[in-house]
Amino acid sequence: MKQGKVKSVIGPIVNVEFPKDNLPLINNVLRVKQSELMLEVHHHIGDNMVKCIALSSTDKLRRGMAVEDLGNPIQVPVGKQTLGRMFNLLGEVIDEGAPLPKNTKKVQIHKNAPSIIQQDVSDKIMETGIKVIDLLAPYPKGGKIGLFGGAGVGKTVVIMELIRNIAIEHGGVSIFSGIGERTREGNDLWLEMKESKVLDKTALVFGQMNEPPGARFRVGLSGLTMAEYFRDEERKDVLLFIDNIYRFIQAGSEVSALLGRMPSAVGYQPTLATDLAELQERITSTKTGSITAVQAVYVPADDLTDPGPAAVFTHLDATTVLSREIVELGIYPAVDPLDSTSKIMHPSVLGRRHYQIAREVQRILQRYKELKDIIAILGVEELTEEDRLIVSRARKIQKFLSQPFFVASEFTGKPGRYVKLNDTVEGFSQIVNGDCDAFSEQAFYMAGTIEEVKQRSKEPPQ
Amino acid sequence: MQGLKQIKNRIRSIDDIARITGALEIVALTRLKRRQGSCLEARLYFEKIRQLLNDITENINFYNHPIFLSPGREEKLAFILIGSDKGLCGSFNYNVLNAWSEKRDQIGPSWYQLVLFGKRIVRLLKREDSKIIFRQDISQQKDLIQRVSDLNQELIKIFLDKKIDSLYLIYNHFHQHLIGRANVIKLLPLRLSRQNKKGLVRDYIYQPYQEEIFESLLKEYLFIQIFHALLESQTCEEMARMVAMKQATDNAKGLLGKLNLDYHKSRQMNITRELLDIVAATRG
Repeated sequence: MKQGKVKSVIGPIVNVEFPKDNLPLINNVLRVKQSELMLEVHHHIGDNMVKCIALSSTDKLRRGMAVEDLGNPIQVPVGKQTLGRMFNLLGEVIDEGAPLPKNTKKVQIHKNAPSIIQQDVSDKIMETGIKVIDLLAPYPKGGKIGLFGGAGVGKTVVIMELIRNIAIEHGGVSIFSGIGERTREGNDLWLEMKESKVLDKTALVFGQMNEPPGARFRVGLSGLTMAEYFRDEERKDVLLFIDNIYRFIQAGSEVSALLGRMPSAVGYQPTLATDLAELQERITSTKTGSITAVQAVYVPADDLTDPGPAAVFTHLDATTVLSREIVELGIYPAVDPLDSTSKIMHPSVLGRRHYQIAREVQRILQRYKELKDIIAILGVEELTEEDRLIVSRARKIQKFLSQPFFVASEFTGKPGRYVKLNDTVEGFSQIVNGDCDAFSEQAFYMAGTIEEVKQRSKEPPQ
Repeated sequence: MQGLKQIKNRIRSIDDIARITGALEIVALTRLKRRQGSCLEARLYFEKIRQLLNDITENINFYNHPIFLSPGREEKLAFILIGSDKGLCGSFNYNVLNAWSEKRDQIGPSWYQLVLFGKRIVRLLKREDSKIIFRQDISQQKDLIQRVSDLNQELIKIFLDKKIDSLYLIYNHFHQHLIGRANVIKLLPLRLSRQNKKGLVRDYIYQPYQEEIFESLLKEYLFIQIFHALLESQTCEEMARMVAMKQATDNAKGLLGKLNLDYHKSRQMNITRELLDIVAATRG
């Protein structure tokens, strides 16, 4: 066992000196003997010193403290025993339950991405029950999905609804990885899953905003490693939820300057693309099993061109963009129907009818957007008859894209709605074809299927 | 935040719109002044004719003339709607349309015909195409008087032949600085307001025959009523256009203000960001 001494402590960065020619390997975990603090080796900086990132708080750490090399990178428990449990990034149980059995298999969190021949490329739509997503930016099975949004536009609510709708319907295993978000949310999720009896098919890994950057920087890998095991060894279809991948980038940038790197654009770490790719490239479906990953991505200052979210964009198969403009209209989920995209937006995957209706919906909304300036300046009277029709349909489509959520039912006071893909396509096709021109706009707001809209139009308003 | 270039483009296009609407506002103002004169003159003439007709009808008690007789039902109607040829005049045409559909729904005729003035109104009522018996552009001044006069004869004829039960005229009446609801006037069967009950009735000497004078006066009265409405409507149109364009210019200016703020905000943000990068890099 290699022994060393703490040489300097700068926030979450700790320098440790080891005897000559006896340095620990990069990514190995060191333990400070007098406390339970774990360090991960990041650099060999010369003079027999290694630069480490602390994986928990460095409070009460002193120079000269003895450190030992554990001889391996971080290892997390994997397999069936992890289901129904909650972990931190080191794979320690944090739900105050019984410890894991001794024979639980452990796997290190650093690994190479599957090679290109192992990867599986299938195009199949995964129904989410959320109209706007299923229609305009459908999620591919085994794909990587990003949920972009600024502060307070409802990313977490959408991801919770997705967990509810997919994980409950889905027979396989789900992994939830909480990175740098509110600790309360972890608690809510755990209780929610317990209530809906899906907890025994789920493993939860948390490194929330109360943890130091080192923990937030590595917890994504811990969750991912558990998911990979189910994919590769147990050959299962896995759902992986990550909330929020931006916090991973943020944690990286927090330690980057302290590691001695020069900051890059907007203060991000110069290794932004590499850091992210190491994680993202491993989230993929292989011939043995699939990982369908839904990642929430925080968008600083609502600027999608910010290097953080922009770096995430390129890795994804489908993107759902939540926009503040739509929140201001009071439409939830606040999905931007024109910015959201999916690689399976193609007639050969979706079928001709779905594809055409989705494109028509987008065309109408696009036209409405163009007309907005004219309406604001000259008033709606100056539009031609056709444009007026487009405006009225666009407004109905916009309202119909809202939907009451199960997880938000206590806020909206309305029970949630799961809308089947066929009902979604049917509903929008009726609006696009003009079958619903007679109904009032308000009837479309927070409705499930088009049948519900019709029902509401028949009843006298209360 | 959109890119600077995009905001700049929007600013430019809205600025252009504001210029155009500003120019149209001034044009409408000058035309309004011109129209106002002829409109007020027509009002005077119309009043005189009405007085004359009133007096004569009172004098010789012509109230049993068929033109005054209501068939007692309103099953078959004709409407004259006066709108504009050009757009960009706010709710001008829609006022007429709304008043018309309201009146129509209120009476609920089994059959009706439309007489339309103005290209816009014709276009807006495309769906009622089979019911239009007459259409005329407003701006075509050349033989407008002749056309209206012919129309007048025709309308009186079909009324007297009992092909229609009543005739309505719907147009925008000109009030200073006010565009509100359109005027709805029942032209046929003719009703005269018998104000001069107190015996203050002028008497006239008729030459050669009372009936002939009365007949031609009737026609003149109906004609001038339609023609007068046309003038009122045209004046009102310019006024509506002026107000609408003023509103549009104001709206555009408001939007421009907002966009300019956005533009400068994001410009400033970019500068700050670049400065930060430079400072961070020199320190490192």
